[in-house]
Amino acid sequence: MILSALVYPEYYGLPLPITAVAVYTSAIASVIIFLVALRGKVKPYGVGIWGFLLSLLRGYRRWPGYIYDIALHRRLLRTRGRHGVGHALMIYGLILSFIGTMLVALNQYLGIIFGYRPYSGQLFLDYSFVMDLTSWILFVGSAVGALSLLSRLKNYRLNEAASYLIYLLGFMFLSVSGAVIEDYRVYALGLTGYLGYFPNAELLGRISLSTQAYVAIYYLHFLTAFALIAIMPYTEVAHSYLNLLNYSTRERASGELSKPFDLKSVMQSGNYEVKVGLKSYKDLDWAGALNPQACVGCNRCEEVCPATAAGRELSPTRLALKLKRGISSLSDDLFQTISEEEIWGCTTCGACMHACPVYVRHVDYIVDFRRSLTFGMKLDSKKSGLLMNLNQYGNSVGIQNQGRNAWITNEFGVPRASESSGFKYLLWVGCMNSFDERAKGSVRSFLELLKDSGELGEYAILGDEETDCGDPARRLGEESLFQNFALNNIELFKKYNVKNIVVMCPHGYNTFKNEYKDIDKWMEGVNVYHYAEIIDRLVKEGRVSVEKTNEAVTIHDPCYLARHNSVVNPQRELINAAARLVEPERHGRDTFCCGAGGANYWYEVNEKSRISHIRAKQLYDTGAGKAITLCPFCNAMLNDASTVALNGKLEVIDIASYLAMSRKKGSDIIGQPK
Amino acid sequence: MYVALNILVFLKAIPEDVKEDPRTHGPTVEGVKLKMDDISRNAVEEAIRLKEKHGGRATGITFGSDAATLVMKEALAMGLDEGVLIKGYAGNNPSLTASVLAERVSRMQWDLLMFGFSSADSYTAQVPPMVSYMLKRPLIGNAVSLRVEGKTVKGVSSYEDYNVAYEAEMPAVISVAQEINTPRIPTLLQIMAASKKPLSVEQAQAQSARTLQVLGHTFPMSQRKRIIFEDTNKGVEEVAAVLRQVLGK
Repeated sequence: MILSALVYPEYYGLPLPITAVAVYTSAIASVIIFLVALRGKVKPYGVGIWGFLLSLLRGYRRWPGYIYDIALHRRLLRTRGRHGVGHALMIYGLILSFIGTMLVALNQYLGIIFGYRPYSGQLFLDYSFVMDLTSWILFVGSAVGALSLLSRLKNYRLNEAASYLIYLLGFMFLSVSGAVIEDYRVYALGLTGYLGYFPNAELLGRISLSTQAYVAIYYLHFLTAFALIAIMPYTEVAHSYLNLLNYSTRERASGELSKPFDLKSVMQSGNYEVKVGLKSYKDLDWAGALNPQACVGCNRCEEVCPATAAGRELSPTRLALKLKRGISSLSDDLFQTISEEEIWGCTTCGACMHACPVYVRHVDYIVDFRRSLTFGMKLDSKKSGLLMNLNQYGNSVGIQNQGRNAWITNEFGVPRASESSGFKYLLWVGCMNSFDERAKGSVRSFLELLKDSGELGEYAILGDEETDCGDPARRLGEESLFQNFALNNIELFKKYNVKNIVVMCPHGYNTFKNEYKDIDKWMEGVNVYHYAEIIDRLVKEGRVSVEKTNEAVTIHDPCYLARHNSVVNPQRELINAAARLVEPERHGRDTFCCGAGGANYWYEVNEKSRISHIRAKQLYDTGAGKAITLCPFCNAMLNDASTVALNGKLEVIDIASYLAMSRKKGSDIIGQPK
Repeated sequence: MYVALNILVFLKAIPEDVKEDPRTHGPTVEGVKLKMDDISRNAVEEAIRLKEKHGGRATGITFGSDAATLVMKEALAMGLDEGVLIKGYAGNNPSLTASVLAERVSRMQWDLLMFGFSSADSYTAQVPPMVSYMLKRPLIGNAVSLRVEGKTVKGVSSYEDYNVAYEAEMPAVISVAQEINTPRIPTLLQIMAASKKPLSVEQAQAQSARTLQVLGHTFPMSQRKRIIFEDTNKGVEEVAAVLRQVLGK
């Protein structure tokens, strides 16, 4: 047979009109069933099919990022990579099959309309070869998927496991039946001269198949494919489009929490009857109700979760599955399956959200649950104590606020904003740094560095006017108190015409940078810096010279700096300039929490080991004797952990203090006590 | 069987902290924000719990000044139904306070009259027994648990080394100990919303009670060693060494 005469044999051996009608009718039926099913699934949450599809379309700016994620399978390969490979093969197999199907369709239309059949000759041979490989890719991917499914079978109810299995077996059937159909055609058409392009046909040899059996397999093949599309909304495989919804509707930064009401408008209207918190599925907007329904229980979030690692009751995977089941069964009381212990176990470190391949926002739900507990006045004495301190003293440590930063003015001459004749940077010292002796050392070191650089004169502090940033209140679920702090602080920032804020704590940094602009748009014009970014600039500009030693030093990245705000380079540049950096396995955006975040610093939950001890051990195991922190809370947690669990063998030092000690001219440092 | 209760609960607004007066170097509470007295908070909590269990009403009463309004709002936010602010408080004077309160409640219907056993600012613990005496109603003092059955109230009073279980016919006066419960904390929004609950403000009836005169305030004298430990890492060892030396061990 000559090459140019080779054309893809569409409907080979089948009567054309009947088969075409059968194929297209079932194709259209599958799409209609899919849409009707989808409508039924999303309707209880108050959205129609068009609203749903439009939201996907409206998020088009995010698609490139989404496609990039899916193409590389980044999140699936980073954690539980072996399982991820199976999924990647499956997806690639499906994409290649889809291209093959499109080629066939195109071939048919162009043939009918223009008499031109592009899927012929060499292209036909080449893509046939690709499709032969594809059937293997899809088969192996599905088989690996089935094994992964078995390995975490305990996550699923019977119907859930069955629905995954239907797809996995379905894909395997499509691979095999496709190969059999091709085999039949290759030999029937006498293409044996090109067997090199049809490796599966060569491998299988000539299968003796009756015409009826061939027809039956052909019909089963395409009916299976269409059925798998049609039933998708009823199955766990709905995650394949819900993940796109989650990605498209992701508007907040990961460190930014939702705003259930606007305190200022509430106060102005005098209508205090606002809905806060989460108890029933009805408390969620439709995108929020669908978000956790994308969860497939893959365990990736659980694997990176510090709460799970410490043996707390919380597992983000179990939580997401409970949310998914509770919401999809339209539960009015999600607390029936989700306990308070789980809700308070979270440090809001965000590791789960960053690991999730379907973009579930676990922390949003946890904080919403906390809001309903806090607004239901169901807090234990420690959590209540934090709120009382914040209310009464205006700071999280419960010490009289008056005179909190007088020492900074006394020792370094940094003026209060109210007395300054003009300043470039407002230094937000923070609660811990204002009162805690050890943390004060970091502030002193930072001010020493500023003094050396000659930039100290550009700074001012708020002094007694500094209160709390609001982060602990918000993460404890006391939204109104958070917004009250934010409104007061923004008022002060405006009063002093603040343009740049340097924050000595990642929690304030995150909330000023990401959350305050949602309280008042004015904040969009304010630059927020973490002090490590400032030191990094000073070193780069040569205003502070650092002496490099060969000392092995590791970095503990704070969640609210590295993960939630992607600030990972300044600290590395600084440590590389001053010492020899040794990274722990969990570092940068993949860092492991110190255990203090999400207001955990102020209360206790049941656990088998302490998160801070686990982290201190990880840092100690790098072989570096010193760990650099960039947060007063991390510093306190890891210091205690080192003392209690490591006999003090890990020295925990704030980055400013370390840099102050690494300065070239070796001046006396008032910094952190050694 | 639960009978709806009519509960009156007294709460006190006290200074958040004591400052040093820059002129006299003595203690002062001038210009210090007010907060709800810690043990009043337990009394309010217990009143709300009893109301939630038995039905009825719980009314907060405070003897103070306008500055106590916010504290009363907080108690309303916790769950009291209404508040009464009696103005005219002019410093610590238990017998005056007791007679003002006794006079006020003698004009009201109530089953339980609840207090914190003592306020965290003056610590006299005198007001509840005085009110009990003036109204000729029984007192269950320093209660660590309470139960209402029909027309009687049963309570356990805590003493230093032992507890005593009491039973009293209502109306009765109760003072609660801090251990009785963990008070709920309302959110700021709920405190704001409590502005919509009824709060009546009135002036105290002039009382000619024998009054106690406050002559002055001083900080307690103490002979301090004035040793400052600066190195937080060695702190415990250094402190231990000094203690050993002082104790002669």
